[in-house]
Amino acid sequence: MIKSTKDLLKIKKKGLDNLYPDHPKIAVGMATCGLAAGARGVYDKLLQLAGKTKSKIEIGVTGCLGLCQAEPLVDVYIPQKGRVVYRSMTPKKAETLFKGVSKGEFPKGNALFYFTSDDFIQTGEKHKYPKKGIPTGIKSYEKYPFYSKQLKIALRNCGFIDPDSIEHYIARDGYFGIAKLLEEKRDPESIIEDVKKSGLRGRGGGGFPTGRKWASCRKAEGDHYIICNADEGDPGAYMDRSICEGDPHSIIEGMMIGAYAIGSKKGFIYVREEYPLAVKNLGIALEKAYKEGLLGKKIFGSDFEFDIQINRGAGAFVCGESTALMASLEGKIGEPRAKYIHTVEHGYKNQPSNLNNVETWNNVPTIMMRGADWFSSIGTPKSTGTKVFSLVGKVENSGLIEVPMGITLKEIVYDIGGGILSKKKFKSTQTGGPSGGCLPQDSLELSVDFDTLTKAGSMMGSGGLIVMDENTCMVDVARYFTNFLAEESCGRCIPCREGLFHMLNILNDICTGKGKMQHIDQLEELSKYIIDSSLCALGGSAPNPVASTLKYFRNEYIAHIKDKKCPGGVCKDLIEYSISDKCTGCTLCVKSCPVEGCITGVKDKLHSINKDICIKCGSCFEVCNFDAVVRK
Amino acid sequence: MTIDKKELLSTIKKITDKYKGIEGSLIHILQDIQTHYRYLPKDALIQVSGILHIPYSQIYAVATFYKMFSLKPKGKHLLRVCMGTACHVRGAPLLLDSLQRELKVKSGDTTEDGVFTLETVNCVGACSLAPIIRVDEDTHGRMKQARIPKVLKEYKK
Amino acid sequence: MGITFKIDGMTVQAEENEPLIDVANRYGIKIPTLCYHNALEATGNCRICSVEVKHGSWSKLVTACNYPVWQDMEVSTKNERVMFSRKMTLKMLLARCPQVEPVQKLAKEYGISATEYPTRNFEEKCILCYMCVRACEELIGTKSISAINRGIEKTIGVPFDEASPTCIGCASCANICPTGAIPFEENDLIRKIWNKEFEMLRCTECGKAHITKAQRDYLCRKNGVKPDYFDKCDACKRKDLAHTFNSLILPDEMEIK
Repeated sequence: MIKSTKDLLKIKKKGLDNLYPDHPKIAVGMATCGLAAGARGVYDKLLQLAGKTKSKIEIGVTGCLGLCQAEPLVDVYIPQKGRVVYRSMTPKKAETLFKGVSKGEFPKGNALFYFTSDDFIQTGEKHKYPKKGIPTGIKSYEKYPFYSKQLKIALRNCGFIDPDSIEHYIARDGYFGIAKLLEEKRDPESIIEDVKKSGLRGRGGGGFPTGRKWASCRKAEGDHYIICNADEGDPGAYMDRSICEGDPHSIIEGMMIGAYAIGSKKGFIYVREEYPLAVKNLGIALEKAYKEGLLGKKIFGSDFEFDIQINRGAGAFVCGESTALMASLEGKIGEPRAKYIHTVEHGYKNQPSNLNNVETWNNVPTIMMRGADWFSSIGTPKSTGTKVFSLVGKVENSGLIEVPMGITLKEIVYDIGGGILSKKKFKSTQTGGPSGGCLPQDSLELSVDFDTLTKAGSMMGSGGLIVMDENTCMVDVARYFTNFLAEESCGRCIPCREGLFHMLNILNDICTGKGKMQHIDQLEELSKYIIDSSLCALGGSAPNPVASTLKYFRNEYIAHIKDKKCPGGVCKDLIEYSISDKCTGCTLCVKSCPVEGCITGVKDKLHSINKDICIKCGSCFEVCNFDAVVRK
Repeated sequence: MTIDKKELLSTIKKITDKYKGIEGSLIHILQDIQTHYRYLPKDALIQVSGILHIPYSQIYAVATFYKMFSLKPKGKHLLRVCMGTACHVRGAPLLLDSLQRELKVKSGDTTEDGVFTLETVNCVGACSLAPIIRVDEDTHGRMKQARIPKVLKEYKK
Repeated sequence: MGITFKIDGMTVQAEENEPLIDVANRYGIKIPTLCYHNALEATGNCRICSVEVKHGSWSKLVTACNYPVWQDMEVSTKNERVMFSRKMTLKMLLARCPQVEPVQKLAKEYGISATEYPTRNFEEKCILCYMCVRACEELIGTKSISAINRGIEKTIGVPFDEASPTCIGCASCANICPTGAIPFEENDLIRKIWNKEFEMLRCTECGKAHITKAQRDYLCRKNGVKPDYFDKCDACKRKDLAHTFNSLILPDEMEIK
């Protein structure tokens, strides 16, 4: 049982011994990305090898380090030598790796970067690594382009600990934050003042000042509830998933601090069911927290009592909206209601409820440990701290990043992201998920914070940052988001339900060559109406993708309508597949084509596609290694 | 698919007992029922209504509102194509078309042999490995149309 | 607490947090509604009662049916922004239910007789105002119907479209529906609604079929009255009450002059 800072210190020592043992340790990245790339096979192989060897090599599990497209990532620690991360591991490569580590060496193959030190962000301390036997030609983590401009606060533990281990969390100063507040019997209102001073704003997309929300909730009368919104529904965004999978205790500690400050005894974590690993890891963390007496009654020997329950979503994006989430918690359908009466006064079961996003809760323990002034010195005056982004799409280095607010889109896409995939041309960045917009080339100079992108017609949102290249059709992107929102609309109010239905019909017509110029006027009319008249923020922001693409990529709409052409080469009805003279006659395309007789040609000679029977499935485009298949 | 009444009653009781005392547990209960039967049988909804004293109409509304629930039996394996934004720009619609052709079903339906139910899902959060398909609990990243037959074969046995 | 604010430039008085529509009604300011009923909790589904609320540089469209009023707010019930929203809502409704009379009537008032937006189902009558669901839940209490599916597929109905075990056939839903979207038949002593047949009882006075047996039994259970309370229909019960009232011997001071 953990009842004091003294108890925590004992466990911290144990945890540190486990994090930096006197034998080699190999940790496999087993978050969803790692698993999707085949990490389980690598892990099983390593376990098998470790079981057979006489020398002690520990095989462990860790969360997402962020460079997701290099997954499966494997982290190797050799005492007195250092720590090296390896990329794109396979079971076969793992054998070679294991052989090397058994000899006390860091093999060169697949080595990505090494660590000079581990940051203990809760205290500002560092654990320095020796630099012996590091493979030549690799950079340090601190100088590695993907990581050099990053600052990890929310992602402080992801990829550095075994998410199932409470000892690891405590070793990196977890739970010391709440312990200090309770042992010092800190005045809850002063905690709220600190959160206000830090400038922390909601990380879920709304950007509402967190301290102000806590204060309003505390003031309201009734039974107070704390809710963590882990219903990360924006497609293309997975920041919260990584934190839930890789550092679940940070959310628990954040909620505990919030509960103490607001005066709540009950908390909920609402996780979307599409994240089974997040649900699992949060469940394990809760179990362990209860076992150690960190949840329940008399926490750290004080009168503070707090219970947390996990509730799963069931496949409804609208449940990311706070009133819909609370309805879902009550076992009802996820229909939002008017927010004229705020949920901090009347929320879950009509009681004062404080809802915050995963990343918001996760930042709280660090603010308590390092202080409000430290936090507010990062970022910009109005957008303090850092933000986690999922940098995905047509970018070289795709993954999860955390940067100080105020960094420019250009730095993110080019310095961190490494520029456009396969050296294609940049076309647009899409931020804010379905509530956001698409910004063009000259918006790259804009800084990323709560307010700048909104002025440009998009928004920072929860952190999804999708990079699009010349082979993206912006009308298709607008249609994609509108289709998504039409499917996810709860259907309660007329503007969203009927309006999005009509917008989608029009966009489908435009993308299939049936567009008319009056459709653009209708889209603008519908956008204005839906934004202004919808009942909730889903409807209120649903037209943004259309509005922003009409503003910045109007020429693409006109090309679809007047010329019946798709400049991005995407809209099936407006493009044709053909084979250029880059063709070497390797016949891979013929083998992949599902339509008999569609692609013809002699081996080693130029092939051709029969446009009359081509179903435009794109498999030839996918398999051609010579860029010979042309799509326009 | 007929379900033995006695078996249903005891299963529902077991599930509702598991969540006794837990607030707002209706969705959890329905999820467990769906996992057990691969869909939500009508009699199960009626039972739950009686046990939890929640109106039958509300339970039906919940069952039809959330995408995860199905009132029709699903296949042995649930094949979900991720239609998140990153997957979309990296070719998910064409991948879905290919699967529909290969399995000879439309999205939302189950193959004739009852092995696969093909569905779409809105973002599983593995965006850097787009496009993604999920078969039951397994996530397959960097999918290509050419890999489909091999992946399906894994689950057919 | 008593407050003052402005509607269309006119200063009005109200209680803080009163619904805006109540204040407007009190002052005879007409705001159109479709899903609002003063016996039911306001939900703001149809958005037709949207008005603009302004204070300084801040302004927003809100639904009058459930917006809590506050000191010094400025309301516009028919400026350009409001009219645009209202007309669009009517266009949407006309596209959805072109044959529904109340919709046609209201649209005509705003100068809209047709819309270029396509119709999905010409027979559609339901505007998803939820009055039926709310009436069944809040006034009757059997909660037999609900909103099914989501988005454009949303519809009102009973589970599986089959006879509901809790429906008592009172037809309150059909009667409160502003567009006649809930059909029911009455043949002889059988009322059929929501795919269920109900035996009706005749008034012992006038002989009219006035209540279903199921409704009578439900009300007896719910209110603890004896079945004979429902022997007579409402109209005949009122006549009885009038007789009783007439035959009362009133004390002098109560004599009606």
